[in-house]
Amino acid sequence: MRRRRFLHLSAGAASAASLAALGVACGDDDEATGSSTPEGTSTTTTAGQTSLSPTPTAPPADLADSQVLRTRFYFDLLPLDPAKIFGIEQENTAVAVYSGLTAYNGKTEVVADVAESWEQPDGNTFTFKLRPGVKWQQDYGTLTAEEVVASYNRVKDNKGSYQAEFGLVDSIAALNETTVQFKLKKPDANFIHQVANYHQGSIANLKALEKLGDGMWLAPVATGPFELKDVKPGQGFTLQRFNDYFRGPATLEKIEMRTIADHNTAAIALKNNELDVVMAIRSEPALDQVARDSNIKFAVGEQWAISLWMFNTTSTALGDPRVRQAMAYAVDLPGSIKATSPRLGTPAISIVPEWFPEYSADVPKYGFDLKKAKDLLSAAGVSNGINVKYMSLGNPSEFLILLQASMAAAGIDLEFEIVDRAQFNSRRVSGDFEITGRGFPSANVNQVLFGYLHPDNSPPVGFNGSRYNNPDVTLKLEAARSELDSAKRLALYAEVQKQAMTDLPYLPTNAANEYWGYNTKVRNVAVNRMPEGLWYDMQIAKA
Amino acid sequence: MFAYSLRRGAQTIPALIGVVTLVFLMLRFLPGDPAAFIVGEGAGQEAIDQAREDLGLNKPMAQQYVEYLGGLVSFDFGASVINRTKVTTLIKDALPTTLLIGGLSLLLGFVLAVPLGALAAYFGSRGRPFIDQGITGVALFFDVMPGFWMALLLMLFFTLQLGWFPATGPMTWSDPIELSKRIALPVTVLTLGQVGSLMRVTRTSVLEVLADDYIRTARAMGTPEMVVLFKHALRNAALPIVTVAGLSVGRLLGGTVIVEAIFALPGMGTVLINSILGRDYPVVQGVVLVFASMVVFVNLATDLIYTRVDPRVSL
Repeated sequence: MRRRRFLHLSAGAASAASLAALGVACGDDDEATGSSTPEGTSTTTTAGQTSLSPTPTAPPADLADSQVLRTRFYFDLLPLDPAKIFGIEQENTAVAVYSGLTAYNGKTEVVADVAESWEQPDGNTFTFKLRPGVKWQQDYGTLTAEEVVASYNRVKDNKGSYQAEFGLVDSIAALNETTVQFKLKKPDANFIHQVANYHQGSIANLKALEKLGDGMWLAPVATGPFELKDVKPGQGFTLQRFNDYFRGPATLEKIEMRTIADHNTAAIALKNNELDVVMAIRSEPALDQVARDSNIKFAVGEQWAISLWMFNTTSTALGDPRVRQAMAYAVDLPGSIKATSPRLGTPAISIVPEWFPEYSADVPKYGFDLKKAKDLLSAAGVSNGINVKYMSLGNPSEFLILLQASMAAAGIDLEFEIVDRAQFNSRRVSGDFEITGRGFPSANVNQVLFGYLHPDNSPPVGFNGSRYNNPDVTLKLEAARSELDSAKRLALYAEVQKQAMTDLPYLPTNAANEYWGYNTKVRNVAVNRMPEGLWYDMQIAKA
Repeated sequence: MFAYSLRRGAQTIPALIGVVTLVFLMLRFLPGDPAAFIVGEGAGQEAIDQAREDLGLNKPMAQQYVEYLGGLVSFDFGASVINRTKVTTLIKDALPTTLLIGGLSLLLGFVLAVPLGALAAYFGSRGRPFIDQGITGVALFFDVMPGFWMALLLMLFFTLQLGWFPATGPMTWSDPIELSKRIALPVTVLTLGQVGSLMRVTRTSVLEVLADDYIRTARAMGTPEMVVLFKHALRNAALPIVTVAGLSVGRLLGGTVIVEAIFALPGMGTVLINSILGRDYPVVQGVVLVFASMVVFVNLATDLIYTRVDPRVSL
């Protein structure tokens, strides 16, 4: 039996390299830009795998007496059931509450979490060794391998959103008190992503669930650095430091998440020192307003997701790839980004972010070319122009309105259908749309490419909202996922990306950057590319 | 008077049933499946069906309606489908904030608008149109200014520039001074929104009365002008003012929804917006019912006040 040990993850190494490169390219300098990027927080364990940083240390005299962080939350928190968690707001709360076998660090590398090490004795087997003495919150005792297995089996057998993430898992077993073994049906080179504390990888205490029922998901029993408490609809909630956290208690005693729906109000509250951190400032005017204040800095999660136009390939108007390609030629993406969201977006040419090791630039590129757009429309038999509807969650952004204008010049009449969240989700799932937006954070290429391109992930069970189904791409995707030879795997992924950008079920419009504003008295504010805040490391210095 | 009150009170019951029915039907006819929203994108049909069953949405609509009405009779509004909190608890937590800012705004709006309207009418009738037009113009300006815009302007000036009032923060009920600072800006926005319409109605109504013979007689008898204005003229001009004040409660409640969202106040408006966005049927129904009840009962109170202002109404 071939025995392999993962010493360093190629994904993590490549991520770090690309991050560093971006940092240079972006002139990522605090003095020059007034911003900071995620700092590296990984250390190396004796097992050779990187882990999250140990307890943050600082001279006590340097810290404020009150370690209560006041943070803006957007609206009411939804239940944090690992089988169903969705939305960046929930994910950013869950990451403070839950542990996984692995986790993502500040460089978005997969690192050890409650697993202190892992082995892959053969392509289909992963064996995780748990850290000793990991405590559950709320006096639920010490974490055991059986409890980890129960938590993951619940997601695997649940008909929730992330069952597919464990689709390759044949069985999960506790070999002893501290060893968990996954048997896969087929090899998965990126499997360690699936057990990170993100969605399905988060470990919950099922004894507590049995006792508390579904109400537990607003006060989950987990093993992360903070406990979720006092969820008050319309007001916010609290993340209370868990003093028995296995890496030692966080410096922050409490994080008060205050519900503030309005972006401008949040920016004013940050400037007025009513808040210490504002997550996800997604408006250039709000960024401008905050950036003028010398007491406020930014943490940036660069290119955390590719924003896409999702073409419904089963619709009459968009079934022909030439129509989709015509649209790609008809939009001036770099110009529109520069005009409307120069900091919040970066031009993108692939559905895979540049910082992924699997990213390939060898894909068809669609520059702004109205003649080509018109030629393609003529070739598709719609030389008199075409009307297509874009389903927009809320009012269309200035960016979309600019794209609409440039498309009109090519004879494409883009009409906006404005819907609310419930209708948006419902119609995206049912396929009752022609074009809509999409983008989700992930560090796992399989999640991105399988999610978007594999027919098994067509709604309602997955994220392939375009209903894309190219058998050649499907075969290559499956081959790449199970290919353990890194070079061959990368080659297969490159072919998939090339074909995807040729068929164009999704049009990448930009790579989104996530800005968190924070008062300079808060230290170690960092956002990785998930984009998760590294709450555990944060500290409040004396003013 | 008692018979009139009873008769008028009984008329509120069909109005409330109508509101309840309308909200129930509107929510169910809105496009978009709340079950799909709740389970999240990517969940399978089985999960969506399970959520529909949990929410009771798989039952026939008539059965849902009867069960809902049955719950209302026993003051059981159900529980939030998002966070499982009882709707009555959510309302109990949120109502004080809305009542405080709404009630204060109504009161302050009345206190400001009525004298201003009366004075504008007085100066208008005494050949000093500039003062009349000045007061009316300012009132009109605040009347047409969108509440959200005024809120942001006030925040920029009083929060960021002067640092007098916070833009956000908890409702510290135990500390009246902090609480006053917290609600100062939202109450100002709502009050100014009330002043415009009420002031203009007062002005028109008083102006009409000031031309009456008995006012001329009062003046001829040497009654001081302010007594004529505020005692004799205003009292007889009160009926339309009371009417508009009653009607303005509906507008005021609509304003609280916007103001609470902007100032991050944990009131009924915030609960309503969150529940609408989350298609949280029981919460939307509960909150709208409370809002509707408030409007209906204020209108009832207005009608009863008529009988004091003008006894002919009770005939």
